[in-house]
Amino acid sequence: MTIVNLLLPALWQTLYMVFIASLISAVIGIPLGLLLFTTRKQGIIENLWINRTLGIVVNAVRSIPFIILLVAIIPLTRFIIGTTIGTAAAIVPLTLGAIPFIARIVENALVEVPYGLTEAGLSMGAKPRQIMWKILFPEALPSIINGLTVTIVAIVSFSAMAGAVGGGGLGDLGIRYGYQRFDVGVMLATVAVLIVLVQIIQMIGDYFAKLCNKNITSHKSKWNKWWTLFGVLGLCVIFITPNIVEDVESHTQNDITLGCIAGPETQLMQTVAKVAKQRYGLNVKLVEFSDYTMPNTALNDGDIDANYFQHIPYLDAQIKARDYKIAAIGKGFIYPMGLYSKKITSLQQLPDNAKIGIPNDPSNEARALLLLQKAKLITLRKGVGVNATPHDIISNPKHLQLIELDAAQLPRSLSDVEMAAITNTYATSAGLKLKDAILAESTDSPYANVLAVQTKNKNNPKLKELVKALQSNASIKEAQQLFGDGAVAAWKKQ
Amino acid sequence: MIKLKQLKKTYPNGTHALDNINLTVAKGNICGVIGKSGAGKSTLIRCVNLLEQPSEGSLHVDGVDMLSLAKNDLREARRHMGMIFQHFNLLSSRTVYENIALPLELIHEKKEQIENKVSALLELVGLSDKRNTYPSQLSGGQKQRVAIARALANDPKVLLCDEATSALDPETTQSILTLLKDINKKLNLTILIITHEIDVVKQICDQVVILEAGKLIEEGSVFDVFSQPKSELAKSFIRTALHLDLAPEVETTLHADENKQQPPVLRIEFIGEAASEPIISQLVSKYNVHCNILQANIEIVQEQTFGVMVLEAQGEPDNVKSSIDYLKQQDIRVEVVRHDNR
Repeated sequence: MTIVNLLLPALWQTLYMVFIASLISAVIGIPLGLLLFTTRKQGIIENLWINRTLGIVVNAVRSIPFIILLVAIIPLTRFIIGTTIGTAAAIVPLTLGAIPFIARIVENALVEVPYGLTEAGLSMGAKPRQIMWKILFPEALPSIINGLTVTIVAIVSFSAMAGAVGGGGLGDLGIRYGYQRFDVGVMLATVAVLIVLVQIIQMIGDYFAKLCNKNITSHKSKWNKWWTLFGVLGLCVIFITPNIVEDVESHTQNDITLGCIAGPETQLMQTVAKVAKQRYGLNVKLVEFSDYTMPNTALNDGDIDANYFQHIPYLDAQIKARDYKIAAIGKGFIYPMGLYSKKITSLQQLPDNAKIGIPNDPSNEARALLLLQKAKLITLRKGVGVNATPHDIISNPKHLQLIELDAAQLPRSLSDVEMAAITNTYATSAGLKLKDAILAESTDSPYANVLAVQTKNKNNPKLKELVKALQSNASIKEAQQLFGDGAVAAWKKQ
Repeated sequence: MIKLKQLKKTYPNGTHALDNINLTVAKGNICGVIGKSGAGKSTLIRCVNLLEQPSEGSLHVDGVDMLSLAKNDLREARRHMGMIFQHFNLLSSRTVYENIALPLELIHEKKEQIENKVSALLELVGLSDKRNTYPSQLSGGQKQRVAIARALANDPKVLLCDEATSALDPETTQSILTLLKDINKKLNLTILIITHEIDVVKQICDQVVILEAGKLIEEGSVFDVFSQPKSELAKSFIRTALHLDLAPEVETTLHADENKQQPPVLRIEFIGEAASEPIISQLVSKYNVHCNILQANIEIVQEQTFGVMVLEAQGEPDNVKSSIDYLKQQDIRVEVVRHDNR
């Protein structure tokens, strides 16, 4: 796959998400900002009750971290889009996150409009609505446009997190390939495209702001409102049409959507998909996630047909915690976790107070803790098993400091910590080999990744064929290429 | 046309911005409200179109009890009152044409009608050539002309002017005042002007109201107040307006060489008809008193002449005395500013 083939769809997804999210959030955020301003004390429709309520809501939404918002509003997303995964689904949280931002920007822009203009409007008998739209809004337009430009650039960067719901986009591409697969080329290319994109957005924003700022002298070309309207409508058509077409063509009988985690595992699943196509005529569509919660939620809700990213202990814990109706129907590979170090070569050399990097996602964190217990470095409370957290450590004789990091970040942190627990998915891409690990999980660990489906589809023959494709020789070959000695075919050992 | 009765405005913090104001402005009159800053002028004019709500009292404009109006009727009533401001308050995002058209757009007037009306107004204020320019490219005086045209768009019965010339240079002020007087005559428009410049009152007002600390301290026709100011504040304004004070140079001459024998210096003020008498020649021919004029000024207010003259009366002391008596008989105010010390 060439870089261009990766970049173009990602660029498209980013443009699509950012454009639609900006448009909708502006349409809702601008009136909201006007309302925030005019209901203030001494405002033209002063209503402190509305003003404070709106203010609190706006602040509340603004203070929620984006990734939490993304997950928190899943029911809303489903209600609006019909699914919670994919590019369109990412637009809902992006929009919701941007609305309060725009509302405040508009409110601040309106503060700059001299009060005398409102007074002039009142003195000529204007209604509050007329003062808002005929006086305040056009007068504040240049600074509103400047604010919108800032917001749109912020949406571009927020859209990077859309990967969590399989939304794709440039930021997600950079994270998946550059960050998680250690592919510097793709990462730099992505960043370069993003920089150019942001520059263009800023230029367009400046242009429009200047165009409607009549305080600057020399404006030979009068801004033609109709051209702008045509432009916006045209862009709408361009952006929405392919999406509709995409929706229409979706889901014939042999289609399976398979959720997987961004990174080398996706590459492995591409091979699986190829096998499934050749042997069983299945059209496997991959949906990449960059977080460990969404794939199960999406599966349980029926947005995807299957996922392959988790081991049985994690799946069990999730089913228990969230009452999912999903089940494992076949094992894939075990990626043994290892303790790696650049500073020491054996556990005996580990100093007191040493820093140990461990993954910060719940399932791999527990796994790392169990591995550290196996190394006799810590003791965990009895019976916590695969649900262990650092709070369950009851004895830590060497006073090890556990540093919780993103799983993909761990190989990069080796210069800063004495030792790190790294899953093999990331160890291999970072050039680490399992045999170099100071200590590794034994291959009989329970952490085999499984293919999970909805419980009601357990016996679906198509999905069973997918399991067969997963357990094919072609996939073993690909796994060896990707992970070296770090991937063990779990189904073979039964 | 405008009738305020015992109007009071008290702010929540207890300050009385307006205290018992009684004021009637007849149709077609120009009434000037003058006072120092903080006297309550702006509050007064804002109470007339209820941009500020009075606390007590009654307010009628064109027979309508403004304080009893519902929101919708108040908006309707405001459409019949134009208002212009010190800082013009034009929309920077609209052209001159669009600014003037705004009040008509608000009532959803038809396009052709707006076009006709605005063109006529542009003609009236002499800005037909600026129709598609933006306010940022206009001078202060031009901006105020646009504001006046905008205020007239709804054919108001009353025009409220809030320090309309205070941000303008003297020459531009002059032209704006002429324009206001002009439309007052053409349209028989009632105008209420708030100002701190007595010259504005002097030049175009029929009626003057003097405000001090929220109270109306003097009110009357401009001629009456100018010829017989009662309050100290009125006197001080009028001294300024009519240049009644002695020029500093004259003052110096008067006090130089006080021991030297010198003829007396008289300050005479003449108003209206008295001014048309050839008094100086009378003094020479009747009393053989020769006049050396040190300072003289004549102002025309409300088509009446207000004059002041400072002169050195050279002649026999007895003759000088009789000539002073003569002047007094002619209804001329005479003040001896330097006594005869010969």
